[in-house]
Amino acid sequence: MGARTVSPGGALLRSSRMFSMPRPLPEISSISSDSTMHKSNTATRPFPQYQSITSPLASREKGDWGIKRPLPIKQTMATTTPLVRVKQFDTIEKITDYNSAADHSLSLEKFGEMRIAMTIPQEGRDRRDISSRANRYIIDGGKDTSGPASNPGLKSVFEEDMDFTAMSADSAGDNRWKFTGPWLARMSEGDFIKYLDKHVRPKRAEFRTLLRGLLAAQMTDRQNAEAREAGKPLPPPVNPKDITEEDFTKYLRRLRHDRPVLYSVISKFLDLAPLGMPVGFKANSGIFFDDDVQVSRSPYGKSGPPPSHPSAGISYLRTNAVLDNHPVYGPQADKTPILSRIISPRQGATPAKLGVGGFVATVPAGDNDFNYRPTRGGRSASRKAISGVSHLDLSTYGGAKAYVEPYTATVNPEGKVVVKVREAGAEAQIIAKEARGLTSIYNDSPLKRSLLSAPEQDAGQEASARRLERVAEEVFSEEPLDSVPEKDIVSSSSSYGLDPPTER
Amino acid sequence: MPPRLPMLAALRGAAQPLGLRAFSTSPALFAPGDGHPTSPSFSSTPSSSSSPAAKPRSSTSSLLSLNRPNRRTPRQAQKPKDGSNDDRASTKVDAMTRMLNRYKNKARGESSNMQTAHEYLRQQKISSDYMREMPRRWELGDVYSPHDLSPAEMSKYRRRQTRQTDVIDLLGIRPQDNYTNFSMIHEFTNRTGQILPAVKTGLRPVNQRKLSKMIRRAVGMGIYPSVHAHPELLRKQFFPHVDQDI
Repeated sequence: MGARTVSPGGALLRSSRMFSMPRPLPEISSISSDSTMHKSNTATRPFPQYQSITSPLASREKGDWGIKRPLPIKQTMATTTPLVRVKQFDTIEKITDYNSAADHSLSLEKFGEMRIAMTIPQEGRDRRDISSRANRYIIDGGKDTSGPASNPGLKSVFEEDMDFTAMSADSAGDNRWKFTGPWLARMSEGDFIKYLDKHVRPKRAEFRTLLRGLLAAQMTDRQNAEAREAGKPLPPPVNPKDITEEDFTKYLRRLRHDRPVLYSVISKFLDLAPLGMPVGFKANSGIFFDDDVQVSRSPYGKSGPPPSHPSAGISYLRTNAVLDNHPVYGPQADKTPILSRIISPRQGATPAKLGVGGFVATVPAGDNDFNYRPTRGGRSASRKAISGVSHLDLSTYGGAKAYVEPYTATVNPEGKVVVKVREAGAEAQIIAKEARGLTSIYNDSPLKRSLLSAPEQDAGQEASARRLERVAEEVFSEEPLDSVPEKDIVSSSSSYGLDPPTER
Repeated sequence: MPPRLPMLAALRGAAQPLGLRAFSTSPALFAPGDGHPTSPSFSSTPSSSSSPAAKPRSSTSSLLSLNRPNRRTPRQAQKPKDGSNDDRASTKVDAMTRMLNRYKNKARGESSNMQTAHEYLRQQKISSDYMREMPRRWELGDVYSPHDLSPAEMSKYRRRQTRQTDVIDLLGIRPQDNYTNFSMIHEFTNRTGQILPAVKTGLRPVNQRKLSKMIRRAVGMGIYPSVHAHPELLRKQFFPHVDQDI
């Protein structure tokens, strides 16, 4: 092909930063009432809309950011995070409308440090409680998604059947995330009426021809089947134009009462995002003899498809099956925990909220240190509730913080990244604290070895006395038990060198 | 000194292992070896502070004592397994006393439970008072930076915003068809029956005009008051405890 000659000025502009900036992303309206009643223009958005740019020091000192005019040095040099987003390169007032982009850039960096993979949301399927520490090794990708007994493990967004970046004719199925039509369940009434008036009503004729074609195909199949049974040669296929109005009207009336078939035909025609199963719908009913009627098992049926690729472009990792390696203690069973801020305590029914790397997540559900409920039994007193969860913590400097282990993240239909979090193991927490210099574990003192001393009394007496004690403990105890420290050689904290050194 | 009768001696012997002393400080009841008279103690454990001379070892006293070394439990009476009954009994009795101690501690613990409940309520109150300084309701997936936690940004979430979106467009309703919807008219009028301006209603000009026309028609027809709200909507103010169905 012939290369078009470009003037030097043109070449300069084309290679400039200003011309290589992508278009800003559209804003997504939130449907929660809180967002309409209480809003702020200066609050950090859940996702960035503008490209964030930076500049090397030498250029920054002169104010040069590669855009139309230099930016003020007093503002842009007096910060440790020289990141900027430009809303308008040149306004009517002859200034550049720009803002600091450090909030989103640093949040992205913090998310990257968590090293978690993005997964498909799990609401539609029956799931095990993956957020509990007991089930933390369920990594399986959930290959079979067709039945209700599908694998409840996490599934990466980059799996072959879920990852669609190019729209082609045969990119069939409801597993894709991008649809031309809207998700009807999330539309407000006024938007729905507008959609009907603008997009649906003009397509009536087209839809009728489509239905004619469907009816013709159905009639053809039927007469072919009859001919095969009778042993006669196949008759010519039915032409849609040959169908009489009466037949067509009968077909329409039948179709109106056959909801699943009608829904599937309409969704395909309008390219609607898949909805959940309609009420009163049974998968094993005898309606389904046609192949094109499929039960939509899309993971987006319950809450709607995400507004972007399910990874949101924030992380491209495909798996969490990675072992962290500590330079001293070797490969770790648990990932490095993240110190999260308990940003809001539990208020009534709403659970406590954690801020993990700048992303608001909810406290892990189930029985853990965050949901401390004083129970009867010997174990309750040994577990302490994390401060800041049931009420605001006023004593900790800087606010209440807790170690958690994020294990995955999903993108919700409003474009927000929801990080899923698990409570961190005690060992991992200690090791993380050591890395920050708050505790010391490792010591070079010689290993302490000691044997369990054998009791000199008769075993039977001791056992019966002990049994009585245990009964008493079971029934009455609300104080901490005096646990006998293990003096076994193997598997004691002392034999691993985890005890503090005895002499300085 | 009156002569010591054997009955008195027996009674004295019975009293002392239980640790109970009489209030009277007459020298007849005190053993010579004791020092300062102590207040009556109610523990069932044997007071080891009493000197051996004060405790006459009578048969009746040892029968009544809980710490009898040769006390036979029903289980032991049924199956005397080994000859070393003494040790077994003593360990059992130690466990028994521990059990009783735990029972007492539990009773004490229940009174402290009330204290912790009071403490909990106090903490909740302080916490909710301070939480008024953080009015923002965090939603899952929100992103925050240090600026979002500053008081300047937080105070923006305290004020309720004026309506930003057009409600009539959002809900897809036709104002002219809702002239009998008194709740809707009440929503867009103030206490004295004046129609609210577009700044307050948040409607775009077309819808504001349609709505105003609808309200004026309703008032003109005589089905809605012009200077106050509809009586059905004010009913609860005047008849707060009357059942609606009557």
